[in-house]
Amino acid sequence: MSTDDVLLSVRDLRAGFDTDDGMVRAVDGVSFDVTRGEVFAIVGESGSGKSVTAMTVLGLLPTIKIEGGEILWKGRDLLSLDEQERRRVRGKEIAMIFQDPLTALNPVHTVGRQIGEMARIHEGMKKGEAFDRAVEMLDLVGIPEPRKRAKMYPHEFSGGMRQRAMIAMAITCKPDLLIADEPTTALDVTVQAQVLEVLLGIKDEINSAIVLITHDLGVVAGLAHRVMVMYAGRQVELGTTDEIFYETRHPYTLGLLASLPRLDDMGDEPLVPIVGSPPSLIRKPTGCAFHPRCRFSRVPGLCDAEVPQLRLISGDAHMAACHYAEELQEVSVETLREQVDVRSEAEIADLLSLDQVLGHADSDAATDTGEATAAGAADALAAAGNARAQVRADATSTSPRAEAEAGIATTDEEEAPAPGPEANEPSDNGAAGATSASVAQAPVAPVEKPVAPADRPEGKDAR
Amino acid sequence: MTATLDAPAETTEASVPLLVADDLVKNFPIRGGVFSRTVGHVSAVAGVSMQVARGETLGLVGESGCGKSTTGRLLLNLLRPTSGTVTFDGRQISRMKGKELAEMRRRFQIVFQDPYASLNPRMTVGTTLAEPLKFHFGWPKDKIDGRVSELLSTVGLSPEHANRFPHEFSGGQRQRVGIARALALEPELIVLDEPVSALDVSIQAGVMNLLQKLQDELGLAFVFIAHDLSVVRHISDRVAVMYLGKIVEQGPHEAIYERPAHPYTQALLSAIPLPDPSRERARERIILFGDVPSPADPPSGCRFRTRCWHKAALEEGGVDTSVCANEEPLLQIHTEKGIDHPAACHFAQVRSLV
Repeated sequence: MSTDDVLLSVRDLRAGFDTDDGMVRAVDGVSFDVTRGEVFAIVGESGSGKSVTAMTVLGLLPTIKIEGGEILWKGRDLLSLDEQERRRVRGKEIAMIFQDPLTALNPVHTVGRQIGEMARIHEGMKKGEAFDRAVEMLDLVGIPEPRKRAKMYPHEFSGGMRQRAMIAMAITCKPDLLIADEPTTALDVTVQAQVLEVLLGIKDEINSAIVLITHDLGVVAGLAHRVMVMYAGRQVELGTTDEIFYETRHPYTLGLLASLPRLDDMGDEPLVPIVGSPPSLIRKPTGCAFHPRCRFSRVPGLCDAEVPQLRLISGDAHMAACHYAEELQEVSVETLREQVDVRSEAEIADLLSLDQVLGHADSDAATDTGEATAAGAADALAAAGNARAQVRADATSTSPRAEAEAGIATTDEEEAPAPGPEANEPSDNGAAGATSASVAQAPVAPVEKPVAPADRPEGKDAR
Repeated sequence: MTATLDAPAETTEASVPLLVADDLVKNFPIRGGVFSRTVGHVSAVAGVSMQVARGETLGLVGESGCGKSTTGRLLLNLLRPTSGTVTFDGRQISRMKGKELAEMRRRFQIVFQDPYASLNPRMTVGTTLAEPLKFHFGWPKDKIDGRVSELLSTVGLSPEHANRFPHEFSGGQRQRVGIARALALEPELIVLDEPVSALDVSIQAGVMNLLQKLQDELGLAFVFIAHDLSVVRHISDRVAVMYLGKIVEQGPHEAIYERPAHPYTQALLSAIPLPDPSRERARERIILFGDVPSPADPPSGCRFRTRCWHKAALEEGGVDTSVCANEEPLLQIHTEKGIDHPAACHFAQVRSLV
């Protein structure tokens, strides 16, 4: 791919919503490129900012506050255009397919008229011509008897047909980019297969690119060329589909993969859930937003203090935002599944997350339950740590790492109930504080501090 | 239809099954006209028979509108069947009423899909959990409080959470409260109606693990209703696949997933994307044409025939498939074709797709 083929280039986009409770940072420093002909998937759980990113590209969110960054469409910054100029791009050059076609289609107009409207507005077609174009488009997406169907209303269509009508509308002007926001989430699997096939066929026919927003990693595996994983408004990993699935370098992506029940698994092994729940975007955890739920985070000092930047990990463009991304090379979904004592761990995790969700600081209750279960958590995490230590046969020292992590388990428990603003000052955890804290809390106090992996960047070793 | 024969007795133990459903039918009336007369029927469930043994999980899968949730409600007598019977532990519950039914209800419970809609927003979680205990056992307050705390710990919440309201919980935790409520009366069977569909994947895994743990510890039987075949495979011992009100294939989970014999099951399995790019690209996919027909006017003979890819392929090969339209296929074992579990297809044929 050459640089000429870059259609959309989002650069350090930061946007959010002002609410009474504070600023919701829905998109926080997101950058990516989409080239012609590719399927670029944005993956994340609810509230990860994936839809907001896409809607911002189209300028469909009037209440959003853009705090910075640019959205370059064929070299032009969309954010600097006025509404008139944006309209010319929207629908004609970039089109959107929404999740729920019943709410996205107008119930009081026929399907044919709504599809034809695109041609009338953007190409100045007459009513009759536009209707013919609509029929042609319905035919293209595989709706039988398109001329008859075009005269029907959305409620007369089934779910799968409505979604096809949405696709027909989106491609009427042969856009260069299609943004599909969970296009098949509301559909049954057999219908999903039909719709995805239509979508891919159309893409090749009109030679456009697709930005596919979804939470379904199965759909991503089959369709996408490149994948961006988002968590709490930030990109955590970016790479080709194979890199994301087979050379995962971020604990969140790894966690998502390990928590999926699979059609080809026998159901003998328990699933590995990601402990806790996604954070509030108003009160994000300090440092790496994922650290309270992360199996690999080493609190205190780094993960809870320093926001990991998205950096190149391997290959041309495989990027991850994790301080320990290099170490994750040794960890696969399989090792995670085999080694983690899931059942005892899962329960404790929920106790923690509840208080994060609420933002409560009722530390009494939390510490009570925390103490009761801390031993279990420590065991579980130590097991995970050992597992990794075994895998990393080349590691200089194994046991201190495992123990340090057991220490983390207890720290986690205490940290959890207080995600308030005061937690924003972890800087005093700096140099000596970090080491002594982790040593003091480890059940069997190791004298030496955890050995830092050799390949970690210089700056972070300072502690 | 001699339905008990259709049920796969070979996989359950010789002991009496906990729950036996025999040829359940449920029609919902369609009303129209000035006097709201019944002008037709939606045949939501059309002759479903199944057995659930103690301690086992039966997975019930199908797409929206196939009648799986209606079946779940019929099993618990939350809906009265139009015809057919449900027998729980040797006693017929589908005709029971009043006090007798209320007492039986203690032994079978349900967990709904949306834990937010199924928990009373004005009641604390503690009150919600205490209510069935008060009603069924009439225990004193301190005994109830003790049991509530115990229930909350069982599902991985803390006893302090009893004083909180449903909105103060996250989705996964709310579903745990729903499970705790179902467990309150120490039932023997729980129907789980899409218990994890509304949850994010990372949360879903925790709830699934909890369900399996509870089953191991308490010896519960589950009827697990879901549209997600991966989830069902993970949790079920046996699986029944429904299409338009009928079970089209039933068997142990490895039989259904590895040796599916019904064309619908095969299409369903092939349509599910695997989160594994290289295998996903290499897979063959059966794309069904059209949509599910209306249950108010189901096709004659085999209900799947209008979308059946296998029938279309056979016709192309010159095979006479008129039997599909004329005769309803029975859910039976086709040993002559080397199929070891019941499938309702005239042209059943094993095909591996996962």
